[in-house]
Amino acid sequence: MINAALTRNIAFADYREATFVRVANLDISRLKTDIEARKMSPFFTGVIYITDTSTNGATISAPLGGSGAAQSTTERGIRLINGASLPSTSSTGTYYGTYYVGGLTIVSGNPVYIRGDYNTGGSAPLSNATGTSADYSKPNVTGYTRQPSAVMGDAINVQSALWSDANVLTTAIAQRTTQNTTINTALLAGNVLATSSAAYSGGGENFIRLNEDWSGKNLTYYGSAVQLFQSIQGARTYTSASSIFRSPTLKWYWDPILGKANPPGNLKLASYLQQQRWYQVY
Amino acid sequence: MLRLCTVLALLVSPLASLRAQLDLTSAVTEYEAGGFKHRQLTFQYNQNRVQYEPPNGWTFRSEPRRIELTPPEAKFAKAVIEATPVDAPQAFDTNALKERFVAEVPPGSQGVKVEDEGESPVQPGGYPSFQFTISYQAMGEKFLKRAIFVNLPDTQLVFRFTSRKDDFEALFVDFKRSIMSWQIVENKPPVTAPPAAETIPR
Repeated sequence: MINAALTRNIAFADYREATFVRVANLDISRLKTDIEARKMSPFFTGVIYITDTSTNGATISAPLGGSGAAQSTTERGIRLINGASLPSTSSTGTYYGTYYVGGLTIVSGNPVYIRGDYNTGGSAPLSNATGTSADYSKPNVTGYTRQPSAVMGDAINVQSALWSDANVLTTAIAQRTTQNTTINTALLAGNVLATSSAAYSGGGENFIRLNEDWSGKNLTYYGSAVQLFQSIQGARTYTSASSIFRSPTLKWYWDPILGKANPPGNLKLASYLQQQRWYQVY
Repeated sequence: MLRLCTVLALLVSPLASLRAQLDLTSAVTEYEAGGFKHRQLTFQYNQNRVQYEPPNGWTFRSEPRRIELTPPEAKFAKAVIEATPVDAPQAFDTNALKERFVAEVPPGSQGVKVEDEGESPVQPGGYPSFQFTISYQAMGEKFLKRAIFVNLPDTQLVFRFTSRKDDFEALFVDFKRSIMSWQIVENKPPVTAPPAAETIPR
């Protein structure tokens, strides 16, 4: 079931990383079909752990876009495709007793790439509309219930649905066009610290990494973004150079559904607060 | 008379050659993105332009055939872009290129070793490129030096970067990103409106 949703050994360009990345595509629509058809293990909880276990940093070759010229790379990744609709229990009633309650959590040790709209129910939520039709309070299509969702990885990248795997490292930014895109999921990933006085980590506004010309387009995000560590694999520093990416208009919101339902998995964050004494240093 | 023409032709020929092909003398424009100011360099390339974005924060000095770029806060690190006109499209003579590149290490360097060689994934303007990396020791430090050779139809471009081994990976990524920004842009002739109907002679 998982294997049928996986396409391995695909290379595409990552401009921030300044290299090609070898990824496995995880087709969420295939996964949804199988989960809703009850083909998963009865112990399935809605959490998918997926990582390329080959040694990150070791040179490997993969065809561009899965069928093009072979490209050498030292970087790995996981790409989520066709993720507009996530698996739910709404069509099947209670599913697998108490284990699976709908939604999806993806966890990877690699950088994760989300291609196109995610958890929106389709490509035309009103958040993707333009002009006066745009309504950022409606990030999913009518009739679709946003599912509790989380994506966790070494880094989180978003590619628009217009992204072409045929892009090479010198494909001009003007040719990497995009469209309005909406992502509805909690995100947990790392960042890269600024390394010099001239550098910048990118801050919260660049927590989602981009590689296309998003100027004039909206990136609507409903979720909760958490940075708990430094990226180990997607470890190249942020740059705002327009040859790498051009910023979208950010329409970012906390998703109130996360206040009602947790993403699958037993997510618990422990924190510790201790009062300390203040003193002046001369 | 024939001799005079020959002399004139010899005088004119290098000038014509210099005027054509790639001239790395830069026109600089600035833009702001993400709160940072970035510079974009524009070069003349025959009838077209090349747009190139140097790494942010690096200083540069350009001449007609050469640009030197220096990163901030890094000792002994330097990038050089060189353009050498050629009479005809060249094939890669990898042995000759390697020999030439290895000979560029500073005099007295020790432990010179070719670390890797092969086609480069970065192909400015879509032209094929070949890359070498060598290591050596000099002044009590370990250095890495990488060159990417690119064969344009009428110019050989070489992107070189040298730094201490410990600084190399991070700095080379900055330089590599800048090479990725190298775009040949067509100079389109200005669009002229067709003559108005009443002015067309009958």
